[in-house]
Order: sequence, then structure tokens, then C-alpha cells
Amino acid sequence: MRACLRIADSLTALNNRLAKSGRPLLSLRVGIHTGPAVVGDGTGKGAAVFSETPNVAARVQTAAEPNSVFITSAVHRLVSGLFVVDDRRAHELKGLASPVQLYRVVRPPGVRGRLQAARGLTPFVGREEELSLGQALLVIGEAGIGKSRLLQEFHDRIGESPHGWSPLANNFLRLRPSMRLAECSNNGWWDRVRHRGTSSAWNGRSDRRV
Amino acid sequence: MERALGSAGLSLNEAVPLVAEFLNLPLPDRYQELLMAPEQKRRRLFATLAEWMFGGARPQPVVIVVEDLHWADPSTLELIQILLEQGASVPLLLLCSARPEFRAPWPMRAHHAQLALNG
Repeated sequence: MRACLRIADSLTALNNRLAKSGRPLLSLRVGIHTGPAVVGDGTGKGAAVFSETPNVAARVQTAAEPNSVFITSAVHRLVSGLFVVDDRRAHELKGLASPVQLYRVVRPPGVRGRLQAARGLTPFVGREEELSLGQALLVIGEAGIGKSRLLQEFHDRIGESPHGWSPLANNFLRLRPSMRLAECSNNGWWDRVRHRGTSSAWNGRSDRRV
Repeated sequence: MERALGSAGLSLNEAVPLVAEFLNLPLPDRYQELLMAPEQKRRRLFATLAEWMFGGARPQPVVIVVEDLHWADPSTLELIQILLEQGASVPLLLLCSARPEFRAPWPMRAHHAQLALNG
């Protein structure tokens, strides 16, 4: 998908040059689908592929808007959260019994949301006090409602801003000393300096109990 | 450990014996055992751990994440309460999660927020 977006970007650049010299512009459409397929003998164009999957991809490509990358819900499930997409609703595709949900890929990862985009703006001035204040947030919800996922998503979103990320065991004081030691070092307490500007790995749920 | 505690701005003569005992590490000869009542030692240990954690928030903001507070033991909750109460002036975000049955043993403050997920 990154490659497709790069291709679309390159084509835009090429079109700018073509427009300057008064030549006709090119456009492209990309359709991506994923699913099982059986590949027979042969290589390259000679290979026989037995599956509906490539047909669906071809139909998605014809349904795509010019100069855009369209994906099906099957692909979206795999890249959810990694790419910014626009919902393009379900499409009736030729030769397929049921409509297929399509998405247009808008942005690759890296440029996430207004906060990240805002990094290219004017230098940040003032609000030093607000920035330096401590805050606490308690997320309350039933088991399985998505508390951990929400916290992980938050971690992903602040990913590029320098910060320390310390998942602390909720039974820290009750751990055996050797486990406490592991907890301190997992949280980077021993070598803060080396951890500066990065976050220690997300340790998953911290409800380890002894 | 000395380097880590020192860079957090802690007084080593007190912090090293406290943390060494907490982590069951041998205390180097150049340090003296602390002569403190158990309750005082416990208070100083909690304060030291909190300071140690705050120390990491000086070079850069720190997010401390504690999940499933409903399973936390009373001592760990006590430590979290210290982080909550003394962390207001440090660039620290304390991010916690709990099931609805959890009742926080601390009062809500202006810099605390609660978020309920209801489906």
C-alpha cells in the first residue's frame, strides 16, 4: 500500500511536468484485495491463478476513482489503524453476488492527525506551564470493552513525540524482589539517559500477579 | 543504581539503602543501614520510589500506565496515590484503567480525569 501511494505521488509529480509542457495527463487507479488463491505452474504472466481474489482486485480497480488507491474491507482489516482511509461504502461489483465495502487510502502512516501534521507549523510558544503539569486519567469500563486497546492506541498516537512510557505492574509492591528489579529495568528506570527520546516497549497487560 | 537514583536527584545516602533493601540487593560497604522505624522506612521508600519515577519525567514527559487497578494491592495503590498527589508539578501522565467496581481510595483533584467506556 505504501508502494501504491508512492506510485500515485510520483504520477502527480510527472503530471505536473507534463502539464507544463502542454502534454496530455496520465491517471491511474489501484485496487487491492486479499484472499486465498491457488497458483499453478509457470511464472510471471504465465502462471495460472485459480481464485476469485484477483478478479475482485480487478473489479475494485475499475471501481476506484482516478488517481486513487482503493482497498476492500478484507484489506482494511489487515491495515486498520496503520493507514488513514475514507469510507467509500459498499459497491456492487460485476460478477460478484454481494456488494463489497470499499475504502480509499488517504495517507500512509507517519502523518497522523492534526497533532502530527501541526509539527510543520510555526514554532510552539508559551503554554510552558500547561505542558509541564502532571495529569491523571482513569479509564473505567467492563472487562473486554477495550480499555487496554484504548491505552495502546493512545501510545501509538503519541509515538513520535519524545516521551517515556512506563507500564507499571498493578501489584508492583507485592512482587518478589527479583520481579521488582525486572519491573524497574523494564521501565527504563536504570538507564533513563539511554531511553531518552524513545519509549520502552509496550509490555502488554501489566496485570501479572504473583 | 547509584547513577539512576542520582540522576533522579535523590539523596544517595538515604535512597540507596532503601532501594537496595526493596530490591533485595546487597548494600555496598560505603553505605550505612538506615536507622528508622519500619513505618517511617516505608514512608521514605514510597517517597523515594515516587521521586525516582518523577526523575524520569525531567528530561522528557513520562506516561506511567497501570492497568486493572481493581486487582492492585493496597500498597501499590498507596504508591499510585503518592504519584497522583505529588505529580501535579511534573510532566507526567498517569494513565490507569479499572473495571467499574473499582472505587478509588483517593479524592479526585483538578488535574484528574475519569473516562467511562460504555460500549
